[in-house]
Amino acid sequence: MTISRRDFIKTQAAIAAATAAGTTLPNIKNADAATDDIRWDKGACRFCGTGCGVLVGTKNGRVVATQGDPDAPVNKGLNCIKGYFLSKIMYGKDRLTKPLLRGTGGKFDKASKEFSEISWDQAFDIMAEKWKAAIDPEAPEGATKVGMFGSGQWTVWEGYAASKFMKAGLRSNNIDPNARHCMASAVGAFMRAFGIDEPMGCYDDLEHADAFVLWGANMAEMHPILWSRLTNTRLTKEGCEVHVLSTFEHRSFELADNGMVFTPQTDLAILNYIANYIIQNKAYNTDFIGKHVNFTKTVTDIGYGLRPDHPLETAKKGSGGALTKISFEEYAASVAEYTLEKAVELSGVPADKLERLAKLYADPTKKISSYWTMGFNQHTRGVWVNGLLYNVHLLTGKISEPGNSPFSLTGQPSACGTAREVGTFAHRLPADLVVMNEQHRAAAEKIWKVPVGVIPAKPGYHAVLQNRMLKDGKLNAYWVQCTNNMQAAANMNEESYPGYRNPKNFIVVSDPYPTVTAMAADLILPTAMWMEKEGAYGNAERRTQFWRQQVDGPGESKSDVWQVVEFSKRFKLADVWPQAVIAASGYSADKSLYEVLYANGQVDKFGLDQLQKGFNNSESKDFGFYLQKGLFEEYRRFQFEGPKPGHEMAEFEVYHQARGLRWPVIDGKETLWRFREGYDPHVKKGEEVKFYGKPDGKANIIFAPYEPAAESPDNEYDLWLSTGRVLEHWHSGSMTQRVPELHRAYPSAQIFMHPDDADSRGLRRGDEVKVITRRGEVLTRVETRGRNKPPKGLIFMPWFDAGQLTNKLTLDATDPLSKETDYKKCACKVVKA
Amino acid sequence: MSISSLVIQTRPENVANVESTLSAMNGVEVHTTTKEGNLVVTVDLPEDAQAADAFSRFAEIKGVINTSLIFNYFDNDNADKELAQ
Repeated sequence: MTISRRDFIKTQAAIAAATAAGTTLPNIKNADAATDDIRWDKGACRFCGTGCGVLVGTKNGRVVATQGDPDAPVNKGLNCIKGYFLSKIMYGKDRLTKPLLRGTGGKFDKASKEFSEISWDQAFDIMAEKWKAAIDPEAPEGATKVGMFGSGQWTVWEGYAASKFMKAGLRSNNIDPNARHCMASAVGAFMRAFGIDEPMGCYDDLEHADAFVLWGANMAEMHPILWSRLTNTRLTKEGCEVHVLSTFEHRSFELADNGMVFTPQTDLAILNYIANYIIQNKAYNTDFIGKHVNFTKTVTDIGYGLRPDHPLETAKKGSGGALTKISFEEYAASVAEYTLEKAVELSGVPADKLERLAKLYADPTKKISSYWTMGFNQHTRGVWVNGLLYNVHLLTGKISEPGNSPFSLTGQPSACGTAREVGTFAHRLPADLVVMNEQHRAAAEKIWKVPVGVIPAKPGYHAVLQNRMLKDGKLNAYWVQCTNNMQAAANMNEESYPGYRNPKNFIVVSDPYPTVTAMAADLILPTAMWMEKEGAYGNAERRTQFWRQQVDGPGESKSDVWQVVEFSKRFKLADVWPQAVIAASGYSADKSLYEVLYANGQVDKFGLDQLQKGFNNSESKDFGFYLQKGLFEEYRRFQFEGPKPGHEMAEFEVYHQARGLRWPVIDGKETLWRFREGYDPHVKKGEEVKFYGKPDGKANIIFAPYEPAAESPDNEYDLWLSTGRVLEHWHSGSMTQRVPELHRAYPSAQIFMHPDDADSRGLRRGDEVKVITRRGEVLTRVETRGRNKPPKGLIFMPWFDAGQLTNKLTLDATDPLSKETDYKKCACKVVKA
Repeated sequence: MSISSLVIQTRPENVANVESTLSAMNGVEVHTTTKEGNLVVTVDLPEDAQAADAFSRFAEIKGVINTSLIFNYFDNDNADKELAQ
């Protein structure tokens, strides 16, 4: 039989889709893929926190194709449209291939608008000069003027190496990841409620649950693969229902049995109403709360994380997140004021819809999975609102078992695996340890073979504070890797841009592309990305996934981990540590940070003979040892020798074989549901449920009230501005805007507006408008139809478009506990341009 | 040549409507449907960009809940080469 090549390929394509849909095609026999000598290998997607497995096809040193990995448990062969075009993200026309210094002829000039090419040697020369000028080894602890801004897109070892370089090498805790903008509130709430970070459940809950509740998350666009699994369950399981809450109607409402649009910030009131309903109707699980829960309340009226002289900060009465133990009765009395009537009045959601939601949570026969992302986390009461949802799950005991799962989704591929787990936050150390705790610092110093007292005890500047300190001239040598924070950070006009351009500061940005952030830098370093290096990511369900280096980076581009480790060679201990500390260390003052931190007998102990056969490893060949393996195995020691068990991972090589494993991994076995006997090896026989992150094994129910947003609409700025994402683009668009097909599918940002709000302003669909806030203005166009349908009084604007810098508009109000910015609420007006 | 396959999800009661809308689109073929509401679809168009446009239009079809992409083949040089099987 002869068939055309086109028909053959189409048949293959249809078979793959039918297999993914769990069906077969009539009258077609399976044809094995004839793959044009493409080498296929497993990898992890570069985009969101779902952590889809992809097969990466390489030919002649170039990634030419990707495909959803049919063997990947997360996505079972499916791709979203971004994942589908993954093979193109490394090949944008404007890839950076040489270091670029601001100024002409290789001479640095802060005031210049031009960049000139320099060598890596010259780049590290000027960096070392600027860093050493900012470092006084004998300065009091915490007075450090150097800093680093990293990423939930760093690979596991990149984050680990950077954190070690900053905290132990330069003795500065001024390192924070962009995950501060997305996950910090989730982290804060995990620590307060459970004493250990990350979700107890996993994606298997998508098949086990009887009902799903989306709290502000638009999974249809932001987590399409998980949405596909959820959709399958909704459409195939008898009685399954989906509840969707948001401040505007979006694509996830298409599947909603109970869709609810609420007034911004009133999620706090709705959740307290549900808790009240459960108590009033005695639907709480007496046995569970008696054995496994403590009742507490939090300090209130805590401000909005603005600069200390802001009127909202001087007016606040409380501060911090201290918890006070209360009785069940006191807790019940605290939520009693959140009646149905009050919840309806504050939220604007009809009573029958709210009551239906409360009844669902109260129903002992329904297994419920709740999902949230930025709607909860980017919230000036983000830690509180995460906690209020845990309250509901804890009151009913619907937690830590198949289908019963409060689940914090993540937006970056390794917000969990890197930013959170290896301790790249300004207050954290690997494996859930913190710099404030003397025992934790000591454990880290011992594993890192550095003397006691090297790691500073005071948390460094967090993301938002870094930009403020740059502006104030207190942070002077600053390195940004793997993130586009000029575009991503709030209040660009008043904080970020003046900070980067402050003549006192030297800003280095490592990126594959000339992003808005790179163009605001003084030195740009060209970065090898994704499949151009060996990598590891950890997704939202605690799954750690590895990939091999498939291709080499273009030109002189180098991976982030190479850049950090190579730069460490430029420092002698005498440059960075006080004399007394050097003396205590027994090291010579001439020893380099490279020798102390990386060529330390641990990180360099695996030879090149152990590299992945048939694949390059650019960094390891350069340094002469298997760098990634050495870093990972040293990191694992924190999991087994550190003071906080529960984060154990398998040996390095295991992950190169497996399609990821969910920690804790004990004796080669992954853990699907934590804290429950029979699923979690850390819970002993007879203990039933043990929240072992807390000393008494009990989780905290934490009462927190409704408090208003930092900035609400008024007569002049009469609309809520909520910012976010669209399916086609990932975050700041630095990769997806360079894929022609994705750019074409959604070329420019726009505002989504209610038709009546457009009418009353004399605007028509497609009109050019100015969106104005107290901080800036942006030109865009009006969309009154389409995928998002805001209620009257609110507009939604995606922020991926570098041509429309949405964060000129936003307010840098943060959750005072998590220091995470609220990107979902500020006041704006819209006028015809 | 740009050939791709997708699984499109809809509510079971909307399968027939979505199927007829899809089938009327240029280069789009529905190979099979399931009672749970899945449609197995291929897209065969000259250029990737046209395929991307088609994917965007799928999401706008009334009743479509989700679109997952499964397989892609991009090749602008070797279209319609005969091969023996």
